[in-house]
Amino acid sequence: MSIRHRPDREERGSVLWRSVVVLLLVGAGLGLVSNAVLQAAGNKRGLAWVRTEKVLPSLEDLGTSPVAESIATAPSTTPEPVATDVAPVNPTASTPTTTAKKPPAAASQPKPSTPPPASSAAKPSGGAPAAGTTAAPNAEKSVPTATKPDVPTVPDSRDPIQAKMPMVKKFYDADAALFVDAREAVEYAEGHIAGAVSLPFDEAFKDPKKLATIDPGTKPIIVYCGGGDCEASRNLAYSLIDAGRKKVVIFEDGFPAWKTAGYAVATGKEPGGAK
Amino acid sequence: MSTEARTMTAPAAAGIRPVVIRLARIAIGVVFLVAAYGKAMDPGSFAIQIKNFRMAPAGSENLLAMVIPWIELVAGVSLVAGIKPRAGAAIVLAMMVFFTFAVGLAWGRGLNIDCGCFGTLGGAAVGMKKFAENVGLTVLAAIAFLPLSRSPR
Repeated sequence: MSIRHRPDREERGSVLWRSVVVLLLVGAGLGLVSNAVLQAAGNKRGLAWVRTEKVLPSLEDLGTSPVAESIATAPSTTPEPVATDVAPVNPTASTPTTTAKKPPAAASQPKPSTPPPASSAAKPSGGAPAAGTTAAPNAEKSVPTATKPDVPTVPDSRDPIQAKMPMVKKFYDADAALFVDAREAVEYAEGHIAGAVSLPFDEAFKDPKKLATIDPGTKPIIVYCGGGDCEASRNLAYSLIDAGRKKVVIFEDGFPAWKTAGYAVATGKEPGGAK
Repeated sequence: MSTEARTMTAPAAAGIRPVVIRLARIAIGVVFLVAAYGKAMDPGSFAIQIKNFRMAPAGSENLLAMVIPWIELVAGVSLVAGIKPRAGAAIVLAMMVFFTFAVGLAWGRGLNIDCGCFGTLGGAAVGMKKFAENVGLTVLAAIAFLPLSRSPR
């Protein structure tokens, strides 16, 4: 190559590509070294070499697992709604969500000693906007117990459980969960799953008391946001668990997928119950 | 390499004067330095933004978040300081093409995400504006990649 004899000329061809590789290696090397230094210094900006996302259990998988099976059958062998409704509340075993298909007053028993209707009505106190609306989705539609779809039991969990659209739709149709919209209030007003209450993660983060307004009784909470790996639903789910909720499900696909599927959507500040 | 082949890539062929190329190099170099700084300062956030694009293989986001800002930095220094500027320009051009593609794909998929383009220095949401901006920067990078010297004779 004649280029080497022309120092005034800019590099071309293979010499150019060699320089490209050198620059790339220098850059990559600096990046790795700087991260190693940050890690060694205990700086939180230092990252793990391989990103390991905490894999949340998925409701679809749990539905077939023996763990879920045992929890589902713990209080009564046959998940017959009438039987579970009057079954004594067991503080250790979780009440099956089959009871959640009923009106909230009958189904909500957060504490054994408290009478069911009083507890579900008194818990979301404080006059927060969500307080009066938590029961709305349930009241809107009374599902005849005969037609209840097969909804798996959501086990108590220290981590949120993920669920996909078909599973979430089952819960929605069965009215077996409280839907919570973790997006900003503006986005909520533009459109949300009909019946879902609004609790933007930012607001819950600033004022954790608002988490107490999300009280579905024994029903699981299904949290969603804008899909696309939006972090709000995940963050809110953990906040809810920290606030004492035990059955928190994340609807991974979020509102865009719901809307695309043509399922019930409401607009405005109110949950809306039209399904 | 034949003389004819070099003539094809000479700026005269593209009708762009060397001073324009020099300016383009410095401009895109500065853009990359700023972008690199924003990302290198907060690699954790950048890793999440990479993940949001849903393009990187799972687990690789952190490595990319460590390496990409520094490659941008080296390429930016190369362009601004004039050290192997064509190599720096080649890297910048390749990155811009890829970034534009990534933003276009995310936009097309309707992902409501922050592009993470400038790290924590205040990015913009992925959308038409961002896409157009990236196309413009890609053109700038392409000009920066042109050789300064006229074809040897």
